[in-house]
Amino acid sequence: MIEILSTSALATVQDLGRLGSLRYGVGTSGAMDPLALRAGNLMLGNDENAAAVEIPVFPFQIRFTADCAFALSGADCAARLDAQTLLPWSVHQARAGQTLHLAPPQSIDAPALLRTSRAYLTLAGGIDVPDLLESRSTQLRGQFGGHEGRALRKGDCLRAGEPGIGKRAVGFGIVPPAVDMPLQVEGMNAVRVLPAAQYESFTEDSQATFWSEPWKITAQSDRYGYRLAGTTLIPKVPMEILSHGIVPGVIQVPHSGQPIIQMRDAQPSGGYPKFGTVIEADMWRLGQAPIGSQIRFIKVGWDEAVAALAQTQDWLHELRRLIELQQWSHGRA
Amino acid sequence: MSLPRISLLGTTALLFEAPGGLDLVTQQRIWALARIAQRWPEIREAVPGMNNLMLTFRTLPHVLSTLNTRLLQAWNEAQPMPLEGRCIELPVVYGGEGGPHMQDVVNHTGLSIDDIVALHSAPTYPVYALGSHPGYCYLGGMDPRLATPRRKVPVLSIPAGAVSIGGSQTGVSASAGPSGWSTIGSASMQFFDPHQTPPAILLPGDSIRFRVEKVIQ
Amino acid sequence: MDIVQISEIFDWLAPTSICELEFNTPQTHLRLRRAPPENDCAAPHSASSPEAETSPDTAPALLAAEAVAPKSFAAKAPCVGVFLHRHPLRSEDLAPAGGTVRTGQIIGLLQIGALLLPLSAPADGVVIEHLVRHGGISGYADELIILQAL
Repeated sequence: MIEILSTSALATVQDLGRLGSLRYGVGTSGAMDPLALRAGNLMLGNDENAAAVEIPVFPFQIRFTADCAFALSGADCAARLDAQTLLPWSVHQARAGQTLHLAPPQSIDAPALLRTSRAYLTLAGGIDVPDLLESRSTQLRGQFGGHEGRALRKGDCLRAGEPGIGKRAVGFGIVPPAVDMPLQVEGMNAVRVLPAAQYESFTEDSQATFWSEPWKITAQSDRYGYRLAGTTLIPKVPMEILSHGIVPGVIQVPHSGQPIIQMRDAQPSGGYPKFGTVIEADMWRLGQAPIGSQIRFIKVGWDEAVAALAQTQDWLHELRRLIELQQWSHGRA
Repeated sequence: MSLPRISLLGTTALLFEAPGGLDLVTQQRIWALARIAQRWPEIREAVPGMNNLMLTFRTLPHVLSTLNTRLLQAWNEAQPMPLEGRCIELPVVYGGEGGPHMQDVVNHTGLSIDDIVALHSAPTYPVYALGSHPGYCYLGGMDPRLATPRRKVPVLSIPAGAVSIGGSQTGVSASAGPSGWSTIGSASMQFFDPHQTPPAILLPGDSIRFRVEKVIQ
Repeated sequence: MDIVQISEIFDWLAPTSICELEFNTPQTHLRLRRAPPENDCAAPHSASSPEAETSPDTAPALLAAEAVAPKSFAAKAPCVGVFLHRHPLRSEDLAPAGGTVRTGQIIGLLQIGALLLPLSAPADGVVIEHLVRHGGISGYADELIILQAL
């Protein structure tokens, strides 16, 4: 239903991730901004876990080879369907032959704190790729899942689960979660962190520094991990740790003392000291943080982390309800 | 005797670490604990590590202490799971282009290349756990004289089949990717097929022997 | 009062000839208004609609008069909501005053909870002024933007 026209690499097919094969060494993969993926699917009436195209490099262009409803979410990329400009976080009907063009998010005149880096293109019925180990996400390291286990290339064609002219309302949008649920400290975007096993093994100065100073997301950051730059974190004594399971969000501190946050394509195990873990509720914020931007960490406990996840679920629940209502009144009109 | 340690990995998982050092009997109890915890409804997956077990949550426990207590009780009752898997033999070319960090291991351990090869290819290594990347086996039983700390800066990509050492552990890469370990040789073997059930060829309880195919000085 | 209840009230009103309804409680002031059936959101602000100007039936004399002083018209709210001049991710208005817009172009948004419904230009025109401030509440069919026909 769509043909990739761009040569820009790194766009991949992702759903919410492969959550149940860690014990075979299979990392989770999945959308870096799971909230954008869910929202795109909700606008189309898809299963929230349906696969979409995650686009981190722009410009990006595709052609619809058949009629198909689609949604855009995540980064605001000044999208155009042929000559028609489209707003971010919205749903539309494409006709066969139309071209969708996404420009770099930096080309948008947006408030600095709302700058994001990854766009999601969702199709009606989801992207139809094989379900392997209970997910359609691309496992780059294992070279399976998604579209042929690799990033998309020019000329690739992807099918939609439910192409054609849909009966559902299109042409509407939603308020992005970054607007509804902002989280900032001293003018910088922030994420909440639960201290992990080796937190107490770092010097008190390092502990204080971690929470009170900004951390820059360096150019060596990608779907595997974000390498941060800031004041060196120093352990009280050197540590060698046995390999154990890890999950996206875990903040490891290698010998260099510069933290690395594990992201979606991270391996499912590791052995560097763990300073903390970005809570699941804030992974979408981190997944959208642009390279070169600075972030702050907020220390939380279990109860706050659970409450934060509930807030995200409430946001999704309300969105689901409003969209159902919108579709219901559309059906009666 | 020290107690097991339980810590959080955010709201996604918890990590259970058995007391004491790496040891086959402890690891056999870890496998048994994994088998028990995998059946608990709030647990999505029980993931054995080296001397530890990660449990990912399907639903969030409201009170952590209840789960912790149940986990400790299950650990106390866990009997070592028998080692009855299969053993595969893997031909390895040690040193040279396929073993770019051999010299780092020589420098750290003070052993010669021949000594390193002899010590590395002597044991039958039980598969303790899978991790790192699809199909990758963490092996137990490496001679402690070969222990070499993880690299200060991880290598951006080592190839499939790389035989490497990290701390007191050794293993073989199942596919190309980044690693913090020192690579001393290379082998060829397919460890993983996502279309099979289970997708990994070797599982905890199986074992590997390295056969010296060639040593490049 | 939530959106479901408001929607139900709409349904009750639909088969009636009631065009306006005000509702007051200690917590809520709700005003529902709808346009007469033949009148869509592109209702003319002055005597004739912009569409009428291009109609072959239009008297030549009227067309001549239009050429001197082009008619203005309003874009009206397609639903009750919070009127937004610009998308929440952007700093620039969708239809700044003085700018030219084309039929169907999105010139504003109506926010209902997390939903954003488009306000489209009913015809080609130049934006004269916004009648409801950014973030202000709009009733159904309220005039939101005044445009001048091209």
